[in-house]
Amino acid sequence: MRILCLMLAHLPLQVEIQRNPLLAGEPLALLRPWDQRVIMAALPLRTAGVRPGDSRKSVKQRCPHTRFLLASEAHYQQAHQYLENALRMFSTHIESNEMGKFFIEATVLARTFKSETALAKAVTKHIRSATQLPATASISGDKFTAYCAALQANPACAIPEGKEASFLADLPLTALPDPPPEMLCRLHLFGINTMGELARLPHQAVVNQFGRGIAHFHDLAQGRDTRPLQPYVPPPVVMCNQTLLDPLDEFLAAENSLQQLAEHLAKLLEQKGYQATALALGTTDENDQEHHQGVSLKPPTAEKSRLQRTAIHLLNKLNPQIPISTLQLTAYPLQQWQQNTTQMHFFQQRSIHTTKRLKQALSSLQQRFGNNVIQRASAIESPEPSPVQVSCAPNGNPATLRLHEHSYPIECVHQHWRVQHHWWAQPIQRDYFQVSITDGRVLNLFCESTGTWFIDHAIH
Amino acid sequence: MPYIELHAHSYFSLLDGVPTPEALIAQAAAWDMPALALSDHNGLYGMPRFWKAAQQAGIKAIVGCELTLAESGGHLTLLAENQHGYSNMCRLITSAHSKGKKGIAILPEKTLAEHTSGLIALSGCRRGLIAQSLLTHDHQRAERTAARYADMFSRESFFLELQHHYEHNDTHLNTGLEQLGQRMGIPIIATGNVHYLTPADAHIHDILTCIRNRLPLQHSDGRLRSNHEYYFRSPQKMEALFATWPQALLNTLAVAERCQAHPPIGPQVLPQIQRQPSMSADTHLRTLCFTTLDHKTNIDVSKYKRTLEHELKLIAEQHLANYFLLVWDLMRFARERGILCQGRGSAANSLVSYLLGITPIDPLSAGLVFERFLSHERPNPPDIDIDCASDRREEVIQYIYNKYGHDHMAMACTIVTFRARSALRDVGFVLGFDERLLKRISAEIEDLSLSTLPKSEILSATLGDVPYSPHWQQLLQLAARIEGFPRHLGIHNGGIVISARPLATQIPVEPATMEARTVVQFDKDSLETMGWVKLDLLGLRMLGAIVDACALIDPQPCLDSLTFDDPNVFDMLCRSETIGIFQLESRAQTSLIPRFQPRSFSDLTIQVALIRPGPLQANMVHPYLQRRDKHEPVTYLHTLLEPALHETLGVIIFQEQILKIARDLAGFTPGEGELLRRALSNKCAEEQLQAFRSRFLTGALAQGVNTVIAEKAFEQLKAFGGYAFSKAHAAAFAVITYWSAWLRCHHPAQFFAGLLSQQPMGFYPAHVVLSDARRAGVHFLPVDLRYSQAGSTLQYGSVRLGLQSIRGIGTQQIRLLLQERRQAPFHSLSELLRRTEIPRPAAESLILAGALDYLQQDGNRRQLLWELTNAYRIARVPPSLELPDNDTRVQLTPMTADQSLTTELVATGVSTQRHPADLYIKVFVSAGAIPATQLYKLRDGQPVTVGGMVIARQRPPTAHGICFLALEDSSGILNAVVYPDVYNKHRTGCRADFALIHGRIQIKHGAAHVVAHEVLAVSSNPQCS
Repeated sequence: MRILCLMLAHLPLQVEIQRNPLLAGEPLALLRPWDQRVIMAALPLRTAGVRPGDSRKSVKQRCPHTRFLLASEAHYQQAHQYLENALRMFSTHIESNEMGKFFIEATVLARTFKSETALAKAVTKHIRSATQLPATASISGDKFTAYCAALQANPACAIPEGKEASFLADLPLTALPDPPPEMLCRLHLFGINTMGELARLPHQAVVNQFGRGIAHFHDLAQGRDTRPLQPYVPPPVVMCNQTLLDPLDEFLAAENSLQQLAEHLAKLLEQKGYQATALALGTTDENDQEHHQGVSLKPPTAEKSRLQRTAIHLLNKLNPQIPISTLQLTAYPLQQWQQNTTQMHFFQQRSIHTTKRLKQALSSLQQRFGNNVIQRASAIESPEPSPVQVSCAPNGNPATLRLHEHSYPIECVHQHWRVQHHWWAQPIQRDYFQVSITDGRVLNLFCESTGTWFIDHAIH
Repeated sequence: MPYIELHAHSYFSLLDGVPTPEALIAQAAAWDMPALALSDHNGLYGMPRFWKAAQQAGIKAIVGCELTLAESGGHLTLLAENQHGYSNMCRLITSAHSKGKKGIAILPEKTLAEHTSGLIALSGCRRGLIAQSLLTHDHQRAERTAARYADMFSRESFFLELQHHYEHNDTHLNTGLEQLGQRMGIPIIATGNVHYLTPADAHIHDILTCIRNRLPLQHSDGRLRSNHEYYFRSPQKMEALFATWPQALLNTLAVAERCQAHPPIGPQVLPQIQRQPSMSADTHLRTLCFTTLDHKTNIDVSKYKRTLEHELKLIAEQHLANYFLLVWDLMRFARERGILCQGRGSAANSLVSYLLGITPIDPLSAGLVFERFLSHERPNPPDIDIDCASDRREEVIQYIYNKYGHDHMAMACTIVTFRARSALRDVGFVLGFDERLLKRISAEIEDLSLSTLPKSEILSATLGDVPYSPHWQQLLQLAARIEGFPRHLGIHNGGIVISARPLATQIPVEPATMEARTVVQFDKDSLETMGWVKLDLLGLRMLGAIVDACALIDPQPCLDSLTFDDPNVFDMLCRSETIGIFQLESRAQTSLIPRFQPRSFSDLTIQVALIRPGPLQANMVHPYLQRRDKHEPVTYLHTLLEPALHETLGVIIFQEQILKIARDLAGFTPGEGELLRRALSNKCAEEQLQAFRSRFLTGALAQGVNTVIAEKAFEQLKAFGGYAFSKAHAAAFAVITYWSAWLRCHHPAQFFAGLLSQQPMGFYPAHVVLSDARRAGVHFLPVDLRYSQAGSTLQYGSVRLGLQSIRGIGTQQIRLLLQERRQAPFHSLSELLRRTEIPRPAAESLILAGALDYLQQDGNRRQLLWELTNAYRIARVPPSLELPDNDTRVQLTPMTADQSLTTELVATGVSTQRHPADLYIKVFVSAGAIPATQLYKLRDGQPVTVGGMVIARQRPPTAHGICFLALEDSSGILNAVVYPDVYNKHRTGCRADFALIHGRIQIKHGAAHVVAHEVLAVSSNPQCS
């Protein structure tokens, strides 16, 4: 079987350059919107050692002239979709498990063109004219070789049958898909730095040295990628957006629009039968500045009200100061089999130890009986304290209590204790009194640091 | 109504108390409390400080502790009524610690019952067994427990403890306790269970509690105290709170009156050294000293006898003869076993020490002052520091253990306190900060104090505006508050405490992490406060290196016969060839040598003492050198100072000179002079210093010295501050300096072999030592399993690296390898593995270090590594069985020279063939870097580029943020100075392993260094290894 690989390496960077051609050749770094860490960097930055995950600050220190851009996932997905749609002209049987990377079967297609090279050229020509993106294509006998060749093609090439190993021979071992660092290190120690050198080793020797798990890489280096073509459906991302004709400068109005959008999103999720595990809100303001906030949803949900609440919470976190012109909600849903899961909430006061033990217990239960065995339970909240009017004696103890429009003299203060807590967050300072009133009842009163009195119904 | 607090915790309750012992005393004094008890958890760590502070404040210190009981986990408060009770308390604490893991104390009730006499027990806090029983309404158990304790301690010495912290059910509990007391005839007593001084400190206590439990605050529910009421209450407040139970308050006075115990005041009774029965320790010491003196020639005998009589008299008066004899015995043992040991520090001021062979310096000929070591006025006992070859120190310690018994000897403890880094890390964790962020900022703050951190540029350089957020400010403030708080107990490097009486009856003893090693609960300062003598036995690798070097010389030289005047040795030192030489190899000393040019032992003594914070901060170094170079005249503030400062050209360099100045200018006795020196070196004693100042000025006036001059002299002494070596110490060090220099000069191969056997040691890493040795003409052979011994040895005049130099191979494995090799050499990899069964990482290290190169014809390490898998397979089957070789043959290309160099460096830390900087030679050459040795050929101020391996990096606190880098290439070493602005811009470069520096050459007094403008990192990981 012959396989064609269509590649658009560093698709997000290419998309950004397409959006703003002045960025071409610039030391560009794309940042994740919510934590300002690099997700992709242009060649000059990669050469300078910038890696995905680096913080904006550290990149700035190393490469002061870096141009930073916030990544816009919607645009990249759109571009990916365009590429895929354009490729559908040649085949509907497309495998794509990575942004900007596509495989199609080329055995039959090649016959309709004069040669494989002609096919590859035709594909790139079509894609480039349809998307204006510098895609490359190559054809080979297996996916890995086709992928490596596509990365090097300019713009198209074909690796003749049986020449896969010789094509790969000069490529570094780092070209292998996700090679374990330990394996790379050991191979390097043995002086094996290219795929040709790896391929030359006897298969059994590699198995003996590294174990069967690593033998797969030896096969790849020899141009024997046996992985079949598998059109892969990535976990869907459901997105809906709304462009506002009149930018919203009132928070309430933005909230209303967002609630509608969340409702729409919930419908979409329901139609597809998915539940969202995360929700992201993106806004564009009048100055074309993009703002993003995201949050994971535990338990996953497709429930309208929860999505609405979460969306509003995200909007609050964004705290827009400039009128909003676009709203975009993105849900990252689960597979269908994970539907109907809900969150557990066992303890009001959690500690690291109890949480760990709980997780262990849940994990054992799930392993033994399956996921559905766990049922939720909600904690019953304590009754809320109710405010009460108290007048005090000169020593600060409560003297009379006004309850349900009746005044009760306090007969006896049995106990007085003090609670001072949570000084690091929301300080609580209360003076508690256990008192008897004239009708014989024993009550627990407390006085907040503000001087307000309450009856505590929870303590008996 | 008067009240005395009998239950107070200091920060020595280790993460369960906030106030210092001194703060507790100060507060008690402010309230006119006549007495105060310290009752820390399971220890008396803070007792000496508490006792001293109480003495100074005129308050009675009551010795107490709060013990944790094994059966219930409950607490019981104990107070020592008399010395017998104190001994029992020590026994109980020792016993509690001996039962649990290190740092955890639990006392079985059975043990408690055996040691109750002389102790007063209070029933403890809410966690006490009786309080717990009452809170759970188990009145029968409460009665049973109370009856049991009352029987144990007697009804007069057991009290039911009433506390009131506005806790839920406090009133019920106290009423219950009172009723229980009435039923059973047990008195009640009120206590405050103090954990902090004021309610505002409760936050700190919460933080400490969370650190103790390794919990962030947000998950701390149930662990923290429910309110902020555990503060030190005034008697008036206690009176109001305990109005219902006035007897409980009155009983505090009665108990305080009864408690008369105090911590053990030294010096302790030391074990007797074996001697004739009729001979006292003083006579024995006298006999030993005079016998040695009789054998000395070319000395003024009468002068020596006079001095000796004076010293012996003072030693006898202070009951220290046994102490000297004990050290003498120790030194005798070490000498018999060939263990190189020598005394250092102030002990070298003593003629007795010299005559007993403890120190190598004749104090009379060196002009030393005995009172620096021992005097009537000195309130603290002296201690003798002994340097011992570090690899044989354990033998000496074991000798002491065996001779005096485990019950009579223990190490001094160290109280490990929160430093800036640990405080920030722990408080940050508790407040819920990201651990990675905390790690990063901790790595950045280096030696800064947290009080200065908010103003430092480091925070903003690392974190931008983040540290100015309220959350960060809270972190910095809280962390600064706990800086200096005790965190846990450690073991002192060498402080040994010996006593004729079992130690556990005098100071509580705890097990240390090291098996069969114990520590006393007093650290060195506490021991000093209590007047206990200790012995400091410190491991010094240089002594081990000297012994190793001498063992390789045939015939072995007698170091004691060296006369410290070999011109060749001093010529070598003047050429700055000092790497590996004790005390002279540092960057600062190397820079000093071109100007200093030492030519005598006296010069060496001064040089060793010159690079110290005292002379540096007091700006004494430059004037001394100017005078030495005759660029400025030698002047004295007053002619009376000439005798004291003549030797050091009118500049103060040694501690003893403080004593002499005080004596000559202000008429101090030597003992008073020593007190002045101690006050000068103690920054906190400003009041004390003022008293000395007045005394100094008055004394000077009486001597006819102008007040202005006297004030100036005192200011000079103050600036000097005492942060310097005593001359005795410097001279003792100079002996080792000379020995090492002599060995380097005359037996370089043996000297460097000795140094490499003792790595890591000294100022530089092993590869720097090796590179320098190569420049000195020493040839090295790589580690080879056929020939290498454990340490480095000589083979055909070259140094053969030892197996110890290979990382990842332990002492046991080396012993096994050598043992097997003695039986028969190893002919193959599988044979090696079969006979030694060494683990794979060790085998790989051997291969990468080149130790097995001989097993391959072309020394192909890659091939050996590849074959290792198969060799293990073959090694696992009996040799009689033939295993089919299922490994398809693979022929790998040998490593390149660079790869071999890298793997050798990784495996051994050294390279015998090339310099590590050669890995980047192309980078350096293309950048226009010049070799280190060419630096001296340039003009002052000329722009220059240099590159090499960063071998030393220093930012001393005295340098105001300047970073000093030492770079080495194959030609030599150069120094670079990086000013703070450049350092802040080029932090990465300054911290890299290999660096390229653009800057300007600066030549001063014959020493050249580069003032950096730009420091660039050169990748430190050229090969994946």
